[in-house]
Amino acid sequence: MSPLDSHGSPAPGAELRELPDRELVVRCQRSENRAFDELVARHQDRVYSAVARFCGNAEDAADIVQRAFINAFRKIQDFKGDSAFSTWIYRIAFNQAISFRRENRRSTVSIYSKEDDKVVEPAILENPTEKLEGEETKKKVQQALDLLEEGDRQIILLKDLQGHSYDEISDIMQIPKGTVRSRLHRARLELKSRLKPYIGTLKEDPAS
Amino acid sequence: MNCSFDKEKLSGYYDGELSAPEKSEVERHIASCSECLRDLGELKSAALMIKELPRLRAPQSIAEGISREIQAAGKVHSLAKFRRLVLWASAAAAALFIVANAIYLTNQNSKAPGADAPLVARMKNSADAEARPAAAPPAEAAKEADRSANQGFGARRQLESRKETGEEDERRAAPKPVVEGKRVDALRERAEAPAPASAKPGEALAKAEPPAPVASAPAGPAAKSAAPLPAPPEVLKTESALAADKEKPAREPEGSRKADADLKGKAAAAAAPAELPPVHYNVMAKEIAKARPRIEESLKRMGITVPLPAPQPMKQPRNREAENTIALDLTDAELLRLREELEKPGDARMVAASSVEPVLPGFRGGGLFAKKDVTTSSKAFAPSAKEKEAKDGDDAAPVKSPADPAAGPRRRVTLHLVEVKSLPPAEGDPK
Repeated sequence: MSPLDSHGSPAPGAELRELPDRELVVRCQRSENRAFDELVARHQDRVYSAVARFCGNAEDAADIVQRAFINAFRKIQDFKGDSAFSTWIYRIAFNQAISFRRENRRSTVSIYSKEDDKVVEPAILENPTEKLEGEETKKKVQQALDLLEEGDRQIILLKDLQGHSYDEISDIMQIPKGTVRSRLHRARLELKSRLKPYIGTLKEDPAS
Repeated sequence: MNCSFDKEKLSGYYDGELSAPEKSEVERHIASCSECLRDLGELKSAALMIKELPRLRAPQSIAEGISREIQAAGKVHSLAKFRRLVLWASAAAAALFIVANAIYLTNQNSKAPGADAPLVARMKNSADAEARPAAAPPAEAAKEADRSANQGFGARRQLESRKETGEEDERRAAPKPVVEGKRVDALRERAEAPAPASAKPGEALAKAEPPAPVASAPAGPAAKSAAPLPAPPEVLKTESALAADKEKPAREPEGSRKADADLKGKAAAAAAPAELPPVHYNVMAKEIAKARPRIEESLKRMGITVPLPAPQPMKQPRNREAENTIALDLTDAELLRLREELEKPGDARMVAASSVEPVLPGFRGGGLFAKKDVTTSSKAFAPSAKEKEAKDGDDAAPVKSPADPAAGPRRRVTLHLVEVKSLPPAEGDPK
């Protein structure tokens, strides 16, 4: 069997897959590097999705996520376990992304090519409801996201893309829970106003 | 838009993040407010647009890059660990080396100024060996001899001279202060002066000085196999018979001295009377073989015969130390003459040495004992107060002509012949 699993990442020991994040972190702190491989395998897709939507560029996102995990590995001895590993890695990844964008000062380039509107979106992990029909709508949603203020974008991605609770977002972003709610509401309103023409393309979502 | 309801609660309501009272409040409000109900619907739509974006799969390069980095970091970590280990090991080794050196040097320093302790220990060994009866098993005697032979040149020589004179000194030290060492100018002074005058009546030894007979030193070189010291009679004589010595000549007649010559080592030395403190000289010569005949010749001219080395016992290793030690009873004038004649060709030098620890050639000239020697020698040859008094005082004692070098009080002179590669620089040479 190949040392890489179906996701293309190194296949950690099967026994590690059964362990919770907290135990894997403890093993990492005991210099068991395979445990970190398992943590990467567990979290890389979700972190990559959020970062790719956050920075709108697939290549940058890959670079940022890689750096974020490497930073996490280097700082693993400092990780006290006060929060979940997922919370911690999101925080590192978003901070990395913000620093990266400031360093590179590049314009927010969509993960969709501007020139020919050709989708350069990376491999899609899942598209559960297939409610977004057509590449145009996806592109407009990403463009609307790109126009949001960084913090608002981060919050809406953490909540609506990743499904984190307010508490988790508060923890990741190190802001009060009330701020999370108000900024989330603001981001949704702005997104709604930008995407109004496309809202009709969405299937009617029952208010229930 | 006219509704003043807290719209943020609509988001909270949608997200299920409201408390139960807030939730009831929202539900009551949207039941009656169409605007807020519409807004809630739009918020849901916006959220759904994000929620239903496709999830992206992380490219393989991310995990590979991370894995690579972790391995490299591990290697770096191991390397750093190894470097730290090496560093610590080196530091520990260096510290150990320094500590060991410090301990070694401390020990050396504590030994150097007073090398007495080991010397005494060696002396004890050697004395034990000598005190062993002649009937000791040959194997054991040979072993002892080997040990003695291994004790090193200087130590052995010191030992010899100490054995020879130390005990003798001890006995003589009782009546008068021990003065050792010598300085040549003082020697010259004494030689030119009239023969030492008789001491005050209280000074038994000086007073009892008879006209010097032919000065043939009876003392043979120290012999390792010296018989146990016939101590009691000697001690008696030296310690208590001062009054008797007034009537009796201090120096024994020739025949008696000849008999003494047959005695070995200290026994002979102790028996030979000498009025002045004993002195020791290191005779440093480039070739002992040349220096020895010159000494003998010089002494012969003064009418003194050099005693033969004591016969060595059979099956004993050759004792060069004993062979190279010459003990004589000389007046200071004779000693001076001997020195001049010995040093004339320039290939030998007589250097004063401490009687207790004859100074090794290597320590001369700035050595540890140089100062000590100077002080002791000046003491030794500066005429003592008593001697001065005697000189200035009455002429009751028989006075020899100053021209006669054989006149005057004698002292035990022990010459240690040392072969050296180069002669030490002349120090305080009156020439």
